[in-house]
Amino acid sequence: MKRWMVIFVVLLAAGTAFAAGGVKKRRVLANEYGRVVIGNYSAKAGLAPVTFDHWIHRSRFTCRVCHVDIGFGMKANSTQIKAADNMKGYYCGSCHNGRMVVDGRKLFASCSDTFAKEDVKRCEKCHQSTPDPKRDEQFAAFVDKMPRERFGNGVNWELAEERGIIKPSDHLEGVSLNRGKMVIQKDFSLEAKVAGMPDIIFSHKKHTVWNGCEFCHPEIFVGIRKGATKYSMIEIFDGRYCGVCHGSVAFPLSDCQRCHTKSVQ
Amino acid sequence: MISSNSGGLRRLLPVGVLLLLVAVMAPGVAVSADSAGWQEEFADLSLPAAQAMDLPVGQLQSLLTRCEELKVKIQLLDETERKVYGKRLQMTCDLYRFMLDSKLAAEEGKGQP
Repeated sequence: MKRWMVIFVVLLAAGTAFAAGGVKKRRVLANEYGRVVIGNYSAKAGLAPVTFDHWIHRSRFTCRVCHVDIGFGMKANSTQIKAADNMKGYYCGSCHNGRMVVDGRKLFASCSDTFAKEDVKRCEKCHQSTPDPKRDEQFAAFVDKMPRERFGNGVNWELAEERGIIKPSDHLEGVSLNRGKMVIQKDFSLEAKVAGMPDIIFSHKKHTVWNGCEFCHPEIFVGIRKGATKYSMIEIFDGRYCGVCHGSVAFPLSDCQRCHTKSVQ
Repeated sequence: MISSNSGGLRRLLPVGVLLLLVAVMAPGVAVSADSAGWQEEFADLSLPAAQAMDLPVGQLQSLLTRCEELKVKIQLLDETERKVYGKRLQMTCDLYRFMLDSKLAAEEGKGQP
């Protein structure tokens, strides 16, 4: 009897530990979705890493402005941004230069080599050692005006633009080139591998309006012949192909019906 | 004699100063002209990217040749510019290469029975 009791207690303890720690990932909160922590050189300068929120930036600019024109990499810490780069007016300093005006207010300058005690607050706008509750309040107020979505940030960004609630600019003065009208590939369908799962209708138009061509080709999608590359959900969940954006910034992969839209025959 | 020589020297002095200034400033002027050159070339090379799908094979090949030449110039820039423009150029060139390969593969496919 005693032996059974010991086994029971051990199993209970192991079960509790598994449930508490677990292997399941915590679902990212709406205000944290698309949050990137950048810390290549911050610690060396005695600062906390930069906490970057995509939501506030994507409401004003297309993905292309930052990831093609300014040159931010697609993975956190891949760009190796230095304070000196920002001070020269590149990367964050392209906008956060103390001169650019947004909504009638000057944007704070991103970095400086000398700073006074009163500048610390400015540094902490990006280099946050503790979460800023003001930012969460800002997010709640922002989301309030947006068309809602079940996952990710809880915002249907596409609809928000369609309705004119947000107007992401595809041009940053002094950085972007005056691009001509874009030639866009037609939409196409991708056959789902699982029976009963609707096929995917991939819209080039929807993607190029925010991204351009060089954003995805060939860095993310290498295949040059239609149908030559077989995409698996395992790879996509692993952050490849569609998973580069969908799962970290764009609506997550758990929102199946946003991509698998073709009606089942 | 001495006085006429010194008069001649005095007349030559402004010319000498001017020549000296030109000699000192010339490298700077050359560098800035070169710098303007790479930026124009960068813009010229990047602009067709929006129409990359419609560019003929010959033009894509010519753009790629120019890409390689510009990469060399960008490597000479300071660290930040090299990082920013190097990446931007690489993305554009990769797109041209991708389009060229797609077109060549399509042409190859047409030729097959």
